[in-house]
Amino acid sequence: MNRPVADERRAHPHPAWVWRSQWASQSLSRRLMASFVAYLLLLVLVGGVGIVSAAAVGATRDDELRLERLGRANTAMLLAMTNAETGIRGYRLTGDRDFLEPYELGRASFPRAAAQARASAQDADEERLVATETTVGRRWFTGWADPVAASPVGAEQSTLADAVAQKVVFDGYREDNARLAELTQQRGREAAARAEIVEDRVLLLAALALVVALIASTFIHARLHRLLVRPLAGVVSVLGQLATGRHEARADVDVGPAEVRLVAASLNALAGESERLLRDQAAAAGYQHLAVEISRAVRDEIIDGDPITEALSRLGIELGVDRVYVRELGAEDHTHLERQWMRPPLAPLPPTTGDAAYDRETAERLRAIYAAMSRWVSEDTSVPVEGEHLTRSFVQRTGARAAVAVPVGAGNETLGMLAVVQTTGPRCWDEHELGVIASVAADLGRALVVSRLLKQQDALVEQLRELDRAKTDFLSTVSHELRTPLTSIAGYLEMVREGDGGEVPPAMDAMLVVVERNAARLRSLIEDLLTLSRIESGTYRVTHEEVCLAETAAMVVQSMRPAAEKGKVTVALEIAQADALVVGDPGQLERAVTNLVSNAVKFTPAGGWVRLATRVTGGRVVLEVADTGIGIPTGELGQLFSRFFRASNATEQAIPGTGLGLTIVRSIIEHHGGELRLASVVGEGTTVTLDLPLLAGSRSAAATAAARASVVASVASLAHHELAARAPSTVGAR
Amino acid sequence: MTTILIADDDTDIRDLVAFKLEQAGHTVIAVGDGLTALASARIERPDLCVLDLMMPGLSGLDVCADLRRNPDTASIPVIMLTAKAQETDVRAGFATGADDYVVKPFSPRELVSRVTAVLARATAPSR
Repeated sequence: MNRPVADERRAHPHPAWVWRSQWASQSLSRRLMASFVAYLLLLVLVGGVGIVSAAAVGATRDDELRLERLGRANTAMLLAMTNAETGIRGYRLTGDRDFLEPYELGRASFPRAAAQARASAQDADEERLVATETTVGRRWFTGWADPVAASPVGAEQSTLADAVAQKVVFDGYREDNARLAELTQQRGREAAARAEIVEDRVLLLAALALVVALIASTFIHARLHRLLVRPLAGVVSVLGQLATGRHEARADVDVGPAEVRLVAASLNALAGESERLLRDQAAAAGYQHLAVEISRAVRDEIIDGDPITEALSRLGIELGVDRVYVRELGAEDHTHLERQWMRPPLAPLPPTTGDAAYDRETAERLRAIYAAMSRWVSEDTSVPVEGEHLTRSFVQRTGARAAVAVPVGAGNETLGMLAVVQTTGPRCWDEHELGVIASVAADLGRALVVSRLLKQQDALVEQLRELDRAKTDFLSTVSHELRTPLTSIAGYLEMVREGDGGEVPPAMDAMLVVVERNAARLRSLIEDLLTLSRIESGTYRVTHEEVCLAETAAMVVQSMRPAAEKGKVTVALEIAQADALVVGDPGQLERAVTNLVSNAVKFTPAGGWVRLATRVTGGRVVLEVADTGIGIPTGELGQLFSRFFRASNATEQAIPGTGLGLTIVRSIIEHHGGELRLASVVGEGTTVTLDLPLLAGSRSAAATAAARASVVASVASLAHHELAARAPSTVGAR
Repeated sequence: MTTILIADDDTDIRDLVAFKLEQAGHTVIAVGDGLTALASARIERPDLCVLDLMMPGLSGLDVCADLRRNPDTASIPVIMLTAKAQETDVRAGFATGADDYVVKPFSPRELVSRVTAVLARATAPSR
C-alpha cells in the first residue's frame, strides 16, 4: 500500500488519514507489546480451550470408567451371588461341604463388590439400585444362603416353598442386578456418546482456536511487517542512495511506527548535515581556488599595477560585492586610493580623502589591527560599533551597508588596507569569504612592496640617467667653456708671432714661445682631463667589438709618422700574428696605443727608434712599444701612472706633456681586462708592454689571410705615406 | 673676392677669424648667433660659412641644416668650428651637410688653409 506523500495531502489531511497516520505512528514498542499481549491471549485462549476440552473429555471418561466399574462391580456381585447360589445348590444337592467353596467365595466377594458398586454409584438412581441390590443380595444371603450353609448336610430343612421363595428372592436380585446392569450400560452408552460429542466439540473448538490463532498471528505479523519492515526498507534504500552519492535523498518521516520515524528523521538530519558539510567543503575549495588564482595573477606580472586591479575586480565579482579597493598609507599617514574596482553603475572613489584627521585615524587603526593580525568586519553598518566616528565616515564615503577591511602589510610594516564593500544591504560574511579576502590581502602586501621597490628602482634609474646626462652636459659644457678662451689665446698668439700685429722683437718672441708652449700644455691638459674623467666615470660608451691589435698598431704608426719624421725618429712595426683578436673598444684602444707611441716618439731624441711588436703568448695578445729614449729614473717608475706626474728628466728637458697620458692608457687597459708593464733604463730607453686577453681566433683562414695582407699593405705604405690629408687635430695629444 | 660668413658667439674668436680671413683677402661677415647667420646667409649669399656649433638659439647644426634645406643656400660650403670633438659630434656635423670640421682650439693659419681648400673644392667642377 503505497501512500504518496503529496503536499496537498499533507496540507489538508483527511481525518481518517490523520487518525490512521496517528495510529500507524504508534510506538513500535507499544506495538510489539500489544502483539505480544495478543499472542499471549491467543495462547491463553488456545490453552484454555485445550484445558477445558481436556477437562470435559476427562470428565466424561471418568464417568465412563465409573460406570464401567459399576458395571463390573455389579457383575461381580452377580457372580458372587451366582457362585454362592451354585454352591448352596450343590451342597443342598450333595451335602458335600466342598460344594460350599463357591458359596464361600461368593459370600466373601459379594460385600466387596457391593462396596465397589456403592462407591461407583453416583447419582440417586444408581445408588438406589445398588442399595436395593445389595439389600436383596444380603437378604438372600442372610435369609437363605447362610443358614443353609450353616446347617449340616442332609438336613432337608428347607422346603420347596423356601426354595421357591429364595428363588424368587434370587430372581428378584437378578432383576435388580439386571436393572442396574442395564442402567449402567445405558448410562455408559450415554457417557460414551457424550464423550464422543465432547470430543468432537473439543476437536472443533481446538481447530477453531488454532485457525483463529493462525489468522490472528498472521495478521499481526503481516501488520508488523508492513508497519516495520516497509518503512525500514525505505530507510535502508535512502541510506543506499546516500552512500552512492545522491546527497539529496531523504527518508519519509510519515511512515512507520514512531521509532522508525525517529530513525528516518535522524537519518534526514544526518543527510542534511552531510549535504551541508559537502556544500561547505565545495564552497571552501571554490574560495581557495579563487584565492590561489588571484594570488597567481597578482604575482605573475608584478611589474605594473594592472594585475592588482584585475585581482580586485576578480575578487569583487566572485564575492558578489559592490566595491573592492586598496587604500595605501603614504608619507605622514596620508592615504591614497589608486586601485579599485566597482560594480558598473557606481562611481569610482576619489584618490584622496581630503581629510587629514580621517587619514590619521585610519592609519592608526590599521596599524593596530595589523599588529593584532586581525581584521575589521561589519555585517550591517546600521548597527553602531565602537570607533563610531571612523565607521560613520567610512560608511559615508563608500556607501557601505556591509564591509570587510583587512590590513595589507609586509613584515612589520602596515602598507594600507584592502576593503570589500557591499552597498545593497547587510551581509553575513562566512569564514571562507573572509579567508579569501585575507589571502588576497597577504598577496597584495607582497605585491605592493615589490611594486614600491620597482618604483623606487625606476626612480633611481631615472635619477642616475639624469645624473649621467648632467655629467655629460657638464663635461661638454666644461670642455666647450675651457676650449673657447683657449682658442683665442692660441689663435692670437699665433697671429702675433706671425707678425700679423706688427713686428715682434726676438726677446718678446722668446717670451711668446713660452706662452705658446704653456697654452699648448693647457690644451693638452684639458683634453686629457676630459678623456680621463670620461673613461673613469664610464661615460664613454665602451663597445665590445673584435679588435685586431696589429691593425690598430699599424694605424697608430701611420698617424704618428709625421711627428716621428719631425723628430727624426724611426718607427718600426713587427707583427708576429696578424689575426690575433681582442675584445674591446677600437677607439679607446687606438687612443691608448697612440699615447704610448706618442710618448715613445716624444721622449726619443733624434736618430733614435721606436719599435712596435705584437705577438701572442699563453692566451694573451702582447703589444710592446720599445724606444731608445731618455728613459725614466728607477725611483720614479712607481709614480709614473699617477695623475699629472711628470718624470724629472722630462720636465728638465722641457718636453711637453700633461702627465695624464699614461694614466689614461692604464685606465683604458684596465677597463679592457689587460695589464700594463713598464721597464726603463735612464738614457737608454723604455719598453712599455700591454697585454690583453686573446679572443679565441674566430676568423676564417681566408679572412686571416686578408687581414694579414691588409696589415702588410699598410705596413708597406708607411714608408711612403704623407700625412697631408689627415686633420691636424689628430696630431699630438689625443 | 670671396665672401665668407663667420658665426660664433665668442667675440674674440670672431675677431680672430675675421682678421685672419681678411688678411687672406676674403670679405668677412661676422655674426654672433645662428638666427642672424641664417638671415645674413640668405641675403648675402656668401661663398663659405664658418659656423660655431654651440651658439645660443639656433646652433651651428641647425643653421647648416636650414641652409641645406633652402635651395638658394644649399650649395654654400660649410665649415663647422667647435670645441665638440667627439666622434658622434663629427658625424652629426657631416651628416647635416658640413664640408669640413675644425676643432677648437685651432690654429688660425690652419683654418685659413682649410677655407682655401674647401673653396677650391667648391669651385672645382667635380663637386
